[in-house]
Amino acid sequence: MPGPMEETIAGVGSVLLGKEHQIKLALTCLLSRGHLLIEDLPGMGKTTMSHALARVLNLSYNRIQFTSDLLPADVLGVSIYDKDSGEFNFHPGPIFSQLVLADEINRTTPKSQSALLEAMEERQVTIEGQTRPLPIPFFVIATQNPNTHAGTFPLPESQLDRFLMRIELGYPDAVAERILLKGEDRRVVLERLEPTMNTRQLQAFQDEAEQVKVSEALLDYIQRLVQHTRAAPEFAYGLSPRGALALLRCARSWAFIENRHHVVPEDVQAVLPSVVEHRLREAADFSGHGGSALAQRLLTKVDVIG
Amino acid sequence: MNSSANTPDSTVWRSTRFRQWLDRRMPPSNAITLDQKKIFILPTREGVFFSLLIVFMVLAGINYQNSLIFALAFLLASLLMVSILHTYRNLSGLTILAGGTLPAFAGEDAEFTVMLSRLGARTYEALLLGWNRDLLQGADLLEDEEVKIKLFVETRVRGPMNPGRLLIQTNYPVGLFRSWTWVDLDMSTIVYPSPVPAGDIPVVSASSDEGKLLAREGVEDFYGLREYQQGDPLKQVAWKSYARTGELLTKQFSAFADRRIWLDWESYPGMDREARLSRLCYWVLKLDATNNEYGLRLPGVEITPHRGVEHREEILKALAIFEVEEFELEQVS
Amino acid sequence: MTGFQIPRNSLAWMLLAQSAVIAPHLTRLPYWTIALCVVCVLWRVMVYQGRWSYPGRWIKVLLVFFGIVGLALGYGTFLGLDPWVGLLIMMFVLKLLEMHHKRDGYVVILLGYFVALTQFLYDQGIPSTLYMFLCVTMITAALIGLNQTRSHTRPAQTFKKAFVLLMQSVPLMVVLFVLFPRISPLWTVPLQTEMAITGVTDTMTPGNIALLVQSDKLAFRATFADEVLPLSRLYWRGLVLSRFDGTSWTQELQALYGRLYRPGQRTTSWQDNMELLGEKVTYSIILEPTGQNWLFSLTMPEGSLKEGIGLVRDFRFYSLREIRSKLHYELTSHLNYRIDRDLSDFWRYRYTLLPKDSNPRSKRLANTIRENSLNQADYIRNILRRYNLDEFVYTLKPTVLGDDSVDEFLLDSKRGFCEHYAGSFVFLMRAVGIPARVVVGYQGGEYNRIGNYVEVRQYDAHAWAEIWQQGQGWIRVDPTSAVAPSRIESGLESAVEDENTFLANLPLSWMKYRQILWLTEIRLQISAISYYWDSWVVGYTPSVQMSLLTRYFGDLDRKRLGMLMLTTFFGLLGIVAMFILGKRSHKLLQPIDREYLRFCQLLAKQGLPRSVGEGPIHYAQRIGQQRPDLASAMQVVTDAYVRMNYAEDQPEKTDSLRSAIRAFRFRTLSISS
Repeated sequence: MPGPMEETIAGVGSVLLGKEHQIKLALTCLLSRGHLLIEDLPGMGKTTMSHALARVLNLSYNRIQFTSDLLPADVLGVSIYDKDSGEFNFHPGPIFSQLVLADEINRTTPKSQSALLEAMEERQVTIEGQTRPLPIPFFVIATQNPNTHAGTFPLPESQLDRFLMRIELGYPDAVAERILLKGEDRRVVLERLEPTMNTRQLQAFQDEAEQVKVSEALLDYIQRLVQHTRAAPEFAYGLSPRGALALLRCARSWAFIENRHHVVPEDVQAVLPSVVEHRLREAADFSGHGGSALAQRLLTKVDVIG
Repeated sequence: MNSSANTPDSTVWRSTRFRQWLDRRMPPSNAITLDQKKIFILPTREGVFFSLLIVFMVLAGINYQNSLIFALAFLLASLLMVSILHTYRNLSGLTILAGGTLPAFAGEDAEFTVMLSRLGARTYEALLLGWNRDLLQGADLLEDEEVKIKLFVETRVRGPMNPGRLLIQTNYPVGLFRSWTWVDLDMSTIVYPSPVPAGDIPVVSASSDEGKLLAREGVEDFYGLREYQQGDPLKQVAWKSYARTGELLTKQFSAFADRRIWLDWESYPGMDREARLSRLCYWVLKLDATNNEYGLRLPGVEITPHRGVEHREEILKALAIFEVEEFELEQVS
Repeated sequence: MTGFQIPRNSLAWMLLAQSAVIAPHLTRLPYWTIALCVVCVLWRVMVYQGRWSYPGRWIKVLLVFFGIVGLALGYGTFLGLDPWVGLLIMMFVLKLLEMHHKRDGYVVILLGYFVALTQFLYDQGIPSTLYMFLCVTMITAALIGLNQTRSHTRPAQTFKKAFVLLMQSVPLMVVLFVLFPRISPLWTVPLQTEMAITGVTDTMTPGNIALLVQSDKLAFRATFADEVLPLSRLYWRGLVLSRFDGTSWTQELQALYGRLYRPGQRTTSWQDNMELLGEKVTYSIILEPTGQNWLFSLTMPEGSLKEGIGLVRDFRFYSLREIRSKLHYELTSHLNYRIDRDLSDFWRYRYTLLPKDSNPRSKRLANTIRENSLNQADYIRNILRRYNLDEFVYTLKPTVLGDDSVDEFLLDSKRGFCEHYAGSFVFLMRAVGIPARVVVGYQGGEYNRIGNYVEVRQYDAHAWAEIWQQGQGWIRVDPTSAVAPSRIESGLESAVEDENTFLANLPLSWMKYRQILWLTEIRLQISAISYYWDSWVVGYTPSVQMSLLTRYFGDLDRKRLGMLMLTTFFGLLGIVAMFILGKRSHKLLQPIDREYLRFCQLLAKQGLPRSVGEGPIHYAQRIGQQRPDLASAMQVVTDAYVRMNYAEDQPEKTDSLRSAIRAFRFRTLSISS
């Protein structure tokens, strides 16, 4: 009898083929009450995944297509003068939903970007002096195309920190691709998806994930990892305390998804690339050797025991 | 054009056999942790004198039949032996990591960053490292777990440069023994040609349509006055000056017409290869400083005009490795 | 003139060490040299502070010139040890002003070690040794400072490092000290030019022993192989004085004594003159340096000592070289003996010889008493009785006597110390034709039960007489025992208790407070320590080494000793190396991690190492794929580890992991077999 977590993963997995790890990461991020950044080329299933997540988790869903002419008000909402009542009526923007897909966030101006990011951080929106809370749970999946593409406004590093995780979806493998080509339209499948839990359950799971046990040995390991990023010269700067906390939070949720009541180093390792890679930068004078990503090197340099 | 000419301390490499032996014993690697296989240790000149001192002391002890003189001599002899262990310890377990490198222009010093790293409680003091035995740089690893050290190596000729094996040695604590190692961190950098000021900007062979790019007469930047010539646009006549002096002058503007400049090998006919490259290099720097778009044409190489740091690096690299033999390039990549 | 600047750290220790190392020499150095030292050190400090520059060549030449002239004036000679030590010290300080290169720093430091060495030529006591260890540590700190990077400026750390290095060297030093084959001197070396002469001298004038006993300095220590003899039997013979000039007694002319006797040597005629009659005692003596040639022994010694020391005709040991450092010797004495049963006419004449015109009253007195005595024995008894009854006083404050000292003492003052009694007694014997001679040495001592030895101090100095009787040979007669028996029974202090003159000039002497028990206890302790030091460290001579090593290792020739030394030395060096190099470079692991890592090593030996950063679960999965046969056992181990370490957070409990590993081992064993 699969639990709600397995069902959720299976549900999203039926739409987004062969991406179980990424789905689990997204779910981890959600359970940790964090926001997710998906960085990939167009057409890799970013939208599909977020839509599917919203469906199985039974969350209200809105998609905001970020374009260069998008204004903050288009995201947050506007007060419009109502002739009948003679008052200003607030028309909530698309951000007022439980799961918001902020598509191609790097296409819009920094001004609109920061409107979204502020709302993400504060979980409320202040317009014309009035503060309006965003729904609970509130979960933003932002997507962005790799920065090399023209006409984009890449998110500044300080803003990237607002996202708990950053993942890449990548191409599907051959098997998945074949199924995709042969099978029915994913959109149809998507429509058929049944919710696996309700909002209250989701919140309960979020609370439970926070209670996953973390031993001293594991904290040692996390500290060693963090310490390494601060000391080793290949890192331009080390991981911030917020980054360390994020790592711990995600490791807990991952362990929860794995149906474990304690965190093991493998949990940390599973989430580490997604949690730290957008928070670190390679030192300028250390580029050019070693092909593996920064986080991968971190994992193979810091031992689990010691 | 030989990269070994760029190896600073070539005397050390007299013996190829020693080199081969070292290569087998310590293959090149970006990260090397020193252990007994890699550390050599021998007494220093001071250590030899110290041993002689001990011999004198023992002789004094014998002749004076003085037990405490013996004791002192033996204490110093034991110190000598113990210092071997300490000097060895002061290298063993040390990890050396290759860091980044900064390219240089021939004749300047290329910068190599290496990192020393220690494990746990063991500390290292008074380490000396460098590629040139006479120019070693000191480093301590006491409170810090890791230190970055920038080392500079003199360059002579352009091309890829591999500084060879890095000498790391220490005499600490008592200077009676020297332990050392030669590690190949597999680091390399590129040495650009040394820029030589070349009078005029090399205008352009007409081999390409987009080639005609620098025009003296532009419209943007005021450049100077010259005598009016038939056909000059009236717009450019310096009327104010004419009113004052009665002399008809034309305002000259300069601009890089579409600001896309080709730096061309053929601009310096008659010069030898290095001279040409040096002058091209000079112009690369010049044009980059003024934020122009420029491209490069060498026999067999063409880089389309662009601007920015990466572009500059690309062009400089092309200049650096131009006609450098294949195997040397492989070494760098 | 490069810009080399000795690191501050090193210079500070260099200057400190230098001052410390030179300090004990100050009393022996001429003032000139001391002034030179001060100038050099100050100059160097000024150079360091950048106020002055190094002296120019001519100033240096001038300084050297003054230094050498100063030494020459101060010592008057360049022979002997002191001027050379002075020269060494001078070089040591002058080099300070010539530190242009790092190697100059090394020269100063090596000179420093050598100057430290010279101190041991003067003093080998425990305090001096500890002090020199401190100095050597400081010199070593300077050496370390010289090799540190300039940014390192914590002198205390440097000193600590030096101390640690030396402490690690000490065990190795002990091995070398004990086992390094000791050999006899290869050539003669200059010794101290001036050596204060201490102890009894070869001239006995009334009053000079009384002066000597004002001192509480140690003369020697004696250890008995068996039981310690009672103090009253401890007559330590040192000198035999048989020539009298009316005031002073001196030794017999050297020419008449002939050569030294050494066993196996049959060139002397007198060596058979001793008949041994049983009871003998074996003991060893550590003699403090006296600057003189005679050694002390109980009557009558036999046997041999080292090269250059032998018996002389009156059966005591004589060293051809003056005793300038502690001398350790072992010997056997025969308590019952008969020497010179026959005395030739010549010697009979020599031993009864008195100056013609001196002390006429005493001669008359002797003749009177002799006439009233039945025989020689009765005469001797009468003389002693006279000392005992006729209001003679044993005192440390004898009356000053004139030319006919014996007359004045016997008939007028009647106040005297042992030399008065011994001298006058021998005089009285000779006056009636009985061969007699004065013996000078020590009597008694203090028994130290902690160290089980007898300690003899200068205040135990004593003089007594030997008379020759036909058929009996030489017999010891101590006239002091007639006048002050307590001197012989319990020492000087009780003998002069009434007049309170014991160590009157030394109010703070330990020896005056012997009645305070705890103080005495401490004094005995300290004395015992210093005794062991003297006998086992300072007195660790080739012969002591041989006897010690043969006791433990059987017969050892030099080659085997060398092998033994090298193996022990390098064995110990290995242990020290483990201590130095084996220091864990990781921080302390939790017990469970240690167990698990050991388990990983076990697998690594089978070619299945865990890679760095590989978590236990992934590791188990990988092993399970590579070696399905191990999968289940591996899983059990991993579960145990993960449960205790991550789920239960109890890394100190290793039981379940251990048993899992045991099961794993069993399983792998059964698979491989």
